[in-house]
Amino acid sequence: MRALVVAIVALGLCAAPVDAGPVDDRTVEDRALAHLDRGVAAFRRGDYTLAHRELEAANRLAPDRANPYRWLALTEVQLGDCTRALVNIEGFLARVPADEPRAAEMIRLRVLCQRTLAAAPAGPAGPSGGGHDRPAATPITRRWWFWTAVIGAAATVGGVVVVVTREPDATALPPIACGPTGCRPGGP
Amino acid sequence: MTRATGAAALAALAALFGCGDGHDDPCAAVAGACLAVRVGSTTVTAIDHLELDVLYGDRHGTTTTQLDGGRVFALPATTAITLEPEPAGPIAVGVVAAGKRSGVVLGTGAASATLGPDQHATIELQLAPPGDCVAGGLYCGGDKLAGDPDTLYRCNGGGVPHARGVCTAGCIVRPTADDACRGDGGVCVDGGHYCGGDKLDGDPQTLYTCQGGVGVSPRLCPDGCVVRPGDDDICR
Repeated sequence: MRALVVAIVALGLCAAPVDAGPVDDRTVEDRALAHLDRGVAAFRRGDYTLAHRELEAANRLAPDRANPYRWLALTEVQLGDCTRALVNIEGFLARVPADEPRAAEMIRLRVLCQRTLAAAPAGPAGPSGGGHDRPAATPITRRWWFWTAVIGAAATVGGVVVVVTREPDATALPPIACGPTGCRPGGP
Repeated sequence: MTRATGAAALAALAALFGCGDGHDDPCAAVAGACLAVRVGSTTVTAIDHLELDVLYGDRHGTTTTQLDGGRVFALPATTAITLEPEPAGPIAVGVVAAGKRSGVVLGTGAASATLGPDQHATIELQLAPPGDCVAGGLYCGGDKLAGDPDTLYRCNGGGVPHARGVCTAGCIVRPTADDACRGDGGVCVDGGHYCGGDKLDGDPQTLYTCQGGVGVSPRLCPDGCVVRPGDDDICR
């Protein structure tokens, strides 16, 4: 499995244009590959935070390579950060030919993220916007006015029901006492 | 909202709508056993007398309750029935009511409840147009007059049916004769005396002589008939 991942990573890196740089650049590229390898491995384990850190390192070292953008986008989607994922999706698509097989995957992911952002309430949905640092919105049931409104509404509805359905007051007749000799009007 | 706040809110709502304050409970001020009677009707709107026939245990009484001066009043109406002395144990109380106006019965209804010592209960009576029973005839409740199907009544043409007694083995509707309580507890012994419903069919307030398993020579008991296991029954 690891060999497969490495092969995919290598293929992704190769898919990007390769500059005929100096010998030192190849060393940087090796380091980028190492970060990419660790990032992909962390992604496979489900450790998306570490994966993101490694993939960003790979991206910093080899910003022209397409594959780190793809893995960053996949990782950011897992982290719930569609805003930043969309940036990296575009980064990947800008660096690969249109018929690149993984382009279709990124395009589907882009659509998914766009829908997610469109459906989300105002404000950034993911870490890139800083939304995760905000305190959670107060639930409506904890707002001071909520129960006041509920009681007020219940009182109004109850009042209407009582008024509409209430039977007229009953006529109170004198009581009756029954004893050994029979019954007669009269209270206790 | 805290639980205490919720309870307070509910109490406020209850107070607002007058729930549970017992202001219309006719037994509210009674310490002992009391039967609250609520009388309503979909056909009778107002009466000036409410006549009640009350059967409690083996006793029976009939009386009338009304407003001062016999004024007309609208239904629903309420009254309370107290028992003197207090019942020693649970006792069945059957009530038949007749709503009258200017001496005419506009509707009758019946209901029953069990009342224990110091216990309060409520019955709801719905007055409906009176049945076409023949005055003086004996009828099971529901057979041409209002009442409990397991109680025998005497039709009172000008008022509330009078209960004769509860039929422990059921009430027999007889199209060509007076209805009767079914004999309970076995077969009567020839020559013995039995209240109706005790080992022979008949009226619980009539004493019969057993002859061939049926009651003959009926004798009315104005104050009721007493069943005495192991001995001849007698008029009270």
